[in-house]
Amino acid sequence: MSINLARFSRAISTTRLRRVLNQTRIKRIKRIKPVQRHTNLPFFQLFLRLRNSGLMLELEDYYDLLEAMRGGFGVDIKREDQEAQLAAFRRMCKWLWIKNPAEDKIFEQQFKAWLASGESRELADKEARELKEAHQAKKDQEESLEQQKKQKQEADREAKKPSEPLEIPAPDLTYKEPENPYQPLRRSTLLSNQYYPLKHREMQQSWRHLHREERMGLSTELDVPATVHAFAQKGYLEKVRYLYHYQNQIDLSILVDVGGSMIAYDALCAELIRTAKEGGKVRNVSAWYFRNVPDDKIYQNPQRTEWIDFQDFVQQLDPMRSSVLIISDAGAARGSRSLKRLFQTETFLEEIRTKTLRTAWINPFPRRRWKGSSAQQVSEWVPMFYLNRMGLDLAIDVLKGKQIDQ
Amino acid sequence: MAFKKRYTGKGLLKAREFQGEMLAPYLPSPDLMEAVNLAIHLNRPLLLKGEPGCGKSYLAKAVACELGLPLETLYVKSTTKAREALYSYNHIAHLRDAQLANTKQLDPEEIERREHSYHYVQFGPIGRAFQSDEQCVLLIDEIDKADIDFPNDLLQELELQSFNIAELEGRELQNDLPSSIKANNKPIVFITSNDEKPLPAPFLRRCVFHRIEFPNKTRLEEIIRAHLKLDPENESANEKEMVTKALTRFDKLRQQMTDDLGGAKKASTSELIDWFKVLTAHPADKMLQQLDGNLPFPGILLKSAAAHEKFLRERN
Repeated sequence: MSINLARFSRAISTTRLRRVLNQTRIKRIKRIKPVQRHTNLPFFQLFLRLRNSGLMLELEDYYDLLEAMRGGFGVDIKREDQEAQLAAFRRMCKWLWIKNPAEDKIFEQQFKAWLASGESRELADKEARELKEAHQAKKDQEESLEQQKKQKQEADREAKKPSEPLEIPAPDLTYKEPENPYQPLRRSTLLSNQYYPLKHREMQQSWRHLHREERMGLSTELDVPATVHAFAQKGYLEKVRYLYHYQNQIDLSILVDVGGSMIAYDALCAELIRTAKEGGKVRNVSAWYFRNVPDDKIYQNPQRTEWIDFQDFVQQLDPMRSSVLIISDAGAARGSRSLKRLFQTETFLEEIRTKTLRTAWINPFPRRRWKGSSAQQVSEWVPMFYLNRMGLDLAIDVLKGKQIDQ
Repeated sequence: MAFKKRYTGKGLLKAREFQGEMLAPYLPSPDLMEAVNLAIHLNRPLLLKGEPGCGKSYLAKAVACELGLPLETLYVKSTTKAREALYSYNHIAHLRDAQLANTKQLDPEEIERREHSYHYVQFGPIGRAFQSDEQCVLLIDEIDKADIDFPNDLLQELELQSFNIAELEGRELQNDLPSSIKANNKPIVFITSNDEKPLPAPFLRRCVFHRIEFPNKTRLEEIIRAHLKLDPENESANEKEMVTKALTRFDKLRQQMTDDLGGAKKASTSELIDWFKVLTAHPADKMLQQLDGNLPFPGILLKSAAAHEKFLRERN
């Protein structure tokens, strides 16, 4: 089936595209393999693949691709071989859709899978040549039109007529139906962080909310608009207004349970700490490690080779500034209720809470698993949240000083 | 579809004067040219990243020079606020005039006139680019230096290509001046970032992104020749040998820097050009000798104590 790109991009309504997108989204949530729908849109399967694998792509981005192809991009007009055409197309997709190295990896993976799936064959030799010819024709036409336009402009410069819209022949793209629409995605599992309960981006966004700004020191900078405004209101200069600098006053200590039942969450915890350090506005983020419950020592690295006394750690907490976030399953993994563990937990929480009440607990296990384990008891002592977007946001509220009734 | 300008990279093969400034030659890679044209075609800002000194900011000048368009530049600083890029309102002058009018030293009609025009408004680079009668090239340089809110604050303005002057809203302006500025011609926007801070995702979404890679050896040689105004046909054998030799030496040094120094700063194209300028200022035969021994003028290429120690001691 041969379709005219220019025609369909006008003809296909946004609503229809949205419906298709929504359908695939629902399918994804239900964990059903995305059914390849016969949408007759060029490269739409590639777009869907990338979108489903976590790239932030919207319909406008797809339109951009079409618009770019109409403009003759994504085609190497100097060369004829398929590889060069494919490389040019790949380059263009990257310019439009890829914004950082992490996305680049996903793109490469999905692009390969897409090539293997057969839909890409529309870029085969013959079509590529057609594209090239169409592009060449467009270029020639453009040149001749440009000359015409110049002549015309010279002829009636004063008339100032609006330039006439150009009719540019769109490159013909042939779309072949994939041979096996149910072919599974070829991708290695566990390499992607798409299975995390919250994504990198979401973590960054959440951390940005962790701030408590305070006015810092004296200011020497004049707030001109405010001063003038006050002047205008009173009719005389009562006092000069100054700009104050505000600074985030939160120091965050993250205490992470490592080893044992928490091994599966190592990467997730590391990501959480990294995003807090990088993306947040927090003045100072420090990470500390323990196994099950902090005893008299607390470790400075996940391998637990360097430590300081737990008392020293508590000492350096500042009642005005410090917030403490604990990440641990609190026994929810095994569902056990150990009195010894409970006792130790209570002691260490007490010690921290003598210094700061802005203490929250994040549990990577869902709430229903806490029942009957020591986690249930601990969640009564300290605000405890399940590690997802909502849980992290609530925990951050507590770290900011909000009182929450459990 | 209106005519769109096309960048071919041929406008600045030799040094040329542009807007009162002498521009050095700029030789973009084919990839980069295509990315520029794609951004122009889609009317999206082109976000450029790459090592310091790879020619990110210079591209905007080269494009403006070739297409013959005026260039507006916004040099972002850590204190830059989005509104300053659009316009600033001179409250002090307004207040002074009001006082003068009070004491009858200024004609009340005059202050009336000033209040109902752009008299107290100073337009920033983006404001000027929007108001310009012909299409502009707009460079937003080192956007990552400002607060993370800065790019987000500019989103709307760059997308809609218009902004309001809040201070003039509600006032009836003379000569039908609008209180909201709408771009007459959408500017060609270039944005550079050194990756000091991550950029917000909604902002990234609206850009075409290109990473400028370090040029390969052939192109590097072309760049050097263009900059030093060397003509391969009538240069002495000594000069020719020196270019080849120095380039080989530089290539090796950069490779070593990649291998040994990890994420540290590598010598860039702009530093290489500076180095060559110094090398060619000296007699060629003397420099040829020096290139065999210790790295001549190491201060131009090596920018850290570790690099100095490593690459200078090795030769000894």
